[in-house]
Amino acid sequence: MNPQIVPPSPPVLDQHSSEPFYCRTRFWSLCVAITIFPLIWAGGLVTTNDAGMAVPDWPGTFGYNLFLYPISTWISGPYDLFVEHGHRLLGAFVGLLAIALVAVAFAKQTSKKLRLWSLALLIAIICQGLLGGVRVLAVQQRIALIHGCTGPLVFLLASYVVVLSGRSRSVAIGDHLSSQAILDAETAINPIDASRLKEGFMTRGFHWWTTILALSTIFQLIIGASLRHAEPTLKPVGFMAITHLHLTFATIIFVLTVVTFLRSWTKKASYWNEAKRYSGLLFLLICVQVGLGIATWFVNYAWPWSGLTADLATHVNELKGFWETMIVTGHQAVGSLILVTSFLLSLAAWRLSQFGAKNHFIKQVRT
Amino acid sequence: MNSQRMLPQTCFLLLALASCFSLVGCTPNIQYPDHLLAEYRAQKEVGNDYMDLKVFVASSLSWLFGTIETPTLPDDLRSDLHLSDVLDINSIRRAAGPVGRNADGIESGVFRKHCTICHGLGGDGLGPSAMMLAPYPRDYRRGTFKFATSGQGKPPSHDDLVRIITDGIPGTAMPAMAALANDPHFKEDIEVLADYVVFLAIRGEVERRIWLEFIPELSQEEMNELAKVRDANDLTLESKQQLLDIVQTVGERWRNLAPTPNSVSSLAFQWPEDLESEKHAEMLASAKRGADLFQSETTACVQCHGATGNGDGRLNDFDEWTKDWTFRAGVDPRNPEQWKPLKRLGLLKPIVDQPRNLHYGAFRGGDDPYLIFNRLANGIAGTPMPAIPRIESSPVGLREDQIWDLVNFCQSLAFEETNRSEL
Repeated sequence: MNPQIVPPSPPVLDQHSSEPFYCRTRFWSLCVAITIFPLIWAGGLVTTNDAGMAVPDWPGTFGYNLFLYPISTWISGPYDLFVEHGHRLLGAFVGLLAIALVAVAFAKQTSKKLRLWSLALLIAIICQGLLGGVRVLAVQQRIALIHGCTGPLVFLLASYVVVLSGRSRSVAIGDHLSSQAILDAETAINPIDASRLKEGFMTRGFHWWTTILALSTIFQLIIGASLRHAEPTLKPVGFMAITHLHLTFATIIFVLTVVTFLRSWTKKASYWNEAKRYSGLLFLLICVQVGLGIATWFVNYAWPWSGLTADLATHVNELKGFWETMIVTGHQAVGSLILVTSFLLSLAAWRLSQFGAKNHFIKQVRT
Repeated sequence: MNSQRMLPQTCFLLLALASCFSLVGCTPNIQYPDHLLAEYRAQKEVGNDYMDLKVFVASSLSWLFGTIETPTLPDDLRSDLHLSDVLDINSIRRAAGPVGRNADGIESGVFRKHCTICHGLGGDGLGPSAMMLAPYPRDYRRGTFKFATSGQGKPPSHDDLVRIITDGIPGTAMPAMAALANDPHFKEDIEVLADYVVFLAIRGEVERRIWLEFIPELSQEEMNELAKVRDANDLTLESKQQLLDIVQTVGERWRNLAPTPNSVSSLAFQWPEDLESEKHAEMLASAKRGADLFQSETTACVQCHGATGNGDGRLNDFDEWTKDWTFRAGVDPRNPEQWKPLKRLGLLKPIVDQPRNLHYGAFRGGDDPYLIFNRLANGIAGTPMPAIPRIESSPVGLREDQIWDLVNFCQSLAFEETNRSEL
């Protein structure tokens, strides 16, 4: 042991001051994020059922205040109206939850960053609602496409606030330490562990792989939404080009997912656990998504090689059938989960490359 | 790079970008698409004297049939057209236009909601997904529909269209819309769609005839005059009269369509529970006679469907929709160098017609014995499947009961695996 190098001492923590506020913020941010997912699903049902214009006015519903539209009329009315009004109600509920989140986050002991991002989430939710309203009032299908693309981004933002509220404390502890200082200190404590720690730092471009993966999911989301919201004036050759692009990005994302999965799961160091969790989840989601994608094409457009088997030749798709609707909507909803997971993986990878070892070291020092 | 800032910054940037898109993104003005292939053929037929008459044709059609948002029937223009006998203008207006509901909760844009993605806005079979489907979606503008019970060479009746829309077409992208009929809120949608399909077919056929029959007959002087037309107000009384004559010719085809009165055979093929029953033996005998007819020169079924009914016979013919813009326009559909330039006009890659594999039991026009009988007796319009000659009109034709034998044979093939030994 080199006596000249002294490990930096961690800051003294007040165990009782900030913890409850982070817990509450985490609770409310979780509420928002968890509620946004069914909202995305409901939005997908709106698109699948072409129900975007089932209610011609906005923000009211057929002249009623959104919250005062008679429940019996809503429930017993046409399915497209049921889905669209339900989507609006759920959207309003998410907005109320986001307000509660901001109120809690603006309590004294939470970080400025968390407060700002909670506020940003509320603004994003409001903007998303407004975008939906503009789509109705302007009768613009292209705005529906944008509304469909920004929905998962709001979900991503909400998930980020959840992550932020969960790890604010631990990140704050290690922020003042440089990676080199940790390495030096660790070398002073245990040279063998230090070499393993250094190996942990060596992500060898893993964070860049995950970044490309995350950005690819964004493009894939936009391409998929373009297919879902294809304008009736779109030329067949344009639709075909978009479909091929969608398939190309699906392949890219699949390969990148496999690469990141293998790279993270071959690491033994404990600070890779977060990346392992996300990459494992992502791999699972991608497998489901590939199946849903194939099924989505089948239930929408049938198989072009129907002469191959008797089952394909005799199969008749059912317009807006239950399974048809769920498969198509599920493909879109799982897409938003993939987007969020890939970004969280990317975030974990970047943190791993710069801060992960630092936090790990601090935990060791504290214990 | 500061990792903590990466994700939020990216999110924010993307949201900002999306907001910008929303400001600039506006749905283009939607109109019925032009019949570019018909124009191409007219241009070839007229030759060097051709003048650009696209505006004249568009003005004529809007004068006759209104716009895509507010369609009209030309009945008001001349009392003897009687299109309202076959079409309900309220249905047509409900099917047309953008998808949604008005303040009274009444639905509109039913066609755009369910059909446009494949059949296109004008029923030209060139919807966004058309190129990726097999078979291609139907182009209504020729006035030819495959599955009709109204008789040889006639368009389908309203009931025929309702049946296809309700039941869908097996093995194709055409879905069954029975769910609409079963929902009290949407039960009228199928009727509305059937009416609008007829409207688009009549409008499309009028457009086609203007290009292919009216324009090639014009003198150079008349063509010069029509080339000056800028909107419907510029149409002369004479040209309006000629246009209405075309509408009457086309409209007449769609009037008084009813199913052909075929006697339904008592031998309509159904495998009874009891395989030893007398009826079963009777049906097997009928199917056996049908098998002999299937192999005979009179029916020539084997030429396309193959000796075993696998659909592996002659595979070198195209359907009428493809022939219209290839052979009849002097283009060889087997030569990509010749047809590829027409792709920009909406020609989809010509595909050789595939005879049905009868063993699959996939009868696209419906598996009801009566419907199969009709397809055998009247042929399938627009395809190489001919009508079987009848004994009444041809010395080598078949009697009605012989056609029923064929029906029973076709149906029995679907059960071949379980009944091969008995047959």
